[in-house]
Amino acid sequence: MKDNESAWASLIETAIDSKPEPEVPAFLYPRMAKQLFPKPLSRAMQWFVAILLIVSPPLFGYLSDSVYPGGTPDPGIVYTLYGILSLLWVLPVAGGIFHRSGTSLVALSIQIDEIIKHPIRGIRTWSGVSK
Amino acid sequence: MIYSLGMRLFRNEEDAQDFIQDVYLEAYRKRERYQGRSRYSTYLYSLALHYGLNRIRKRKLDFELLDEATTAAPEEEAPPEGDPSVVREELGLLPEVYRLPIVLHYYEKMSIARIAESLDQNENTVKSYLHRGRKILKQKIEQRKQS
Repeated sequence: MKDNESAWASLIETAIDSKPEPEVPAFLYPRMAKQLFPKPLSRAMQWFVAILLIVSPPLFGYLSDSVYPGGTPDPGIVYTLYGILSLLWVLPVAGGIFHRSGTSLVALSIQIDEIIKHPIRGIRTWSGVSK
Repeated sequence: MIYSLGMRLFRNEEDAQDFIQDVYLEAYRKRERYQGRSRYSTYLYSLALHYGLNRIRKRKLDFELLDEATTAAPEEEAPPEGDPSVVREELGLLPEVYRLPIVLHYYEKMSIARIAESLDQNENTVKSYLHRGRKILKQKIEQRKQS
C-alpha cells in the first residue's frame, strides 16, 4: 500500500514536472504587459532599453537645446512631454523585462523594503546565503 | 514557481495570472511577517499555497457524497504506466474535485487531513475523491495506451 502511494506520487510528480509551466510576468498588469510584449525581450534588448533609460534625459536635453538654441521656449512643456514619453515606454519595458525574469515589481519592492530595514539580513537572504 | 502553482490549482491561465498578482500583493501587505528564517522563495510558496487554497474553498467545489465503498482497498490501485505527457494531459482533464486532491496529496505532499481542512470537507470525502480520481485517471491512461 505504501509502495503504491509512493508510486502514485512519483507518477504525478514526473507528469507535472515533465513540462514546467513557463514563467510569466508577475507584474501588476500582466495582461497589459503580455499584450504589449507577447514574447519576452531578448537579453540584448533589455540592455539596450536599460541604457536608453539612463541616457535619455541628457539626450532629450541635448536635442531640446539643438532645436531651441539658448534654451527651450517653455521647460514645463518639455518636462511634461518627457514624462509622458517615459511613462509610455517605461511601463511596457518594465513588463517586458519582468516577463523574462519572472519576478514582479511588488516582489522587488519587498526586496528593497527588506534591505532598507535590515540591510545585513536582507542582503544575506536575497543573495541566497540565508540562514 | 507561483505561476506553476496557480496553473496546478486553477488550470486556467487567466486565473493563474490573477493569482500571481494577488499573491504578490498579499506578500507585500504581509511583508512584516517574513522573519528571514527560511529562503524567501520557500516562504512565498507556502503563502501562495495557503492563499490559493483559501480561494478554492471560497469557490465551494461541488463535492457530492460518494459511495463508501469507493474508499476501500487502496492496495488495488497500483498506478498505471504511462508516458508523463499523457499522464499530465489526462490529469489536466480530470474534473476539479478529483484533480485537486491528487495534485495536493501527491505533488504538494499535503496530508489528507490538511487537504480536508483546506477544502472544507471531511477526511472521508477527500479520501473518496482521491480514490475515485486515481481510478478514473488510471482508466483514461490505459484507454489511451490501447487506442
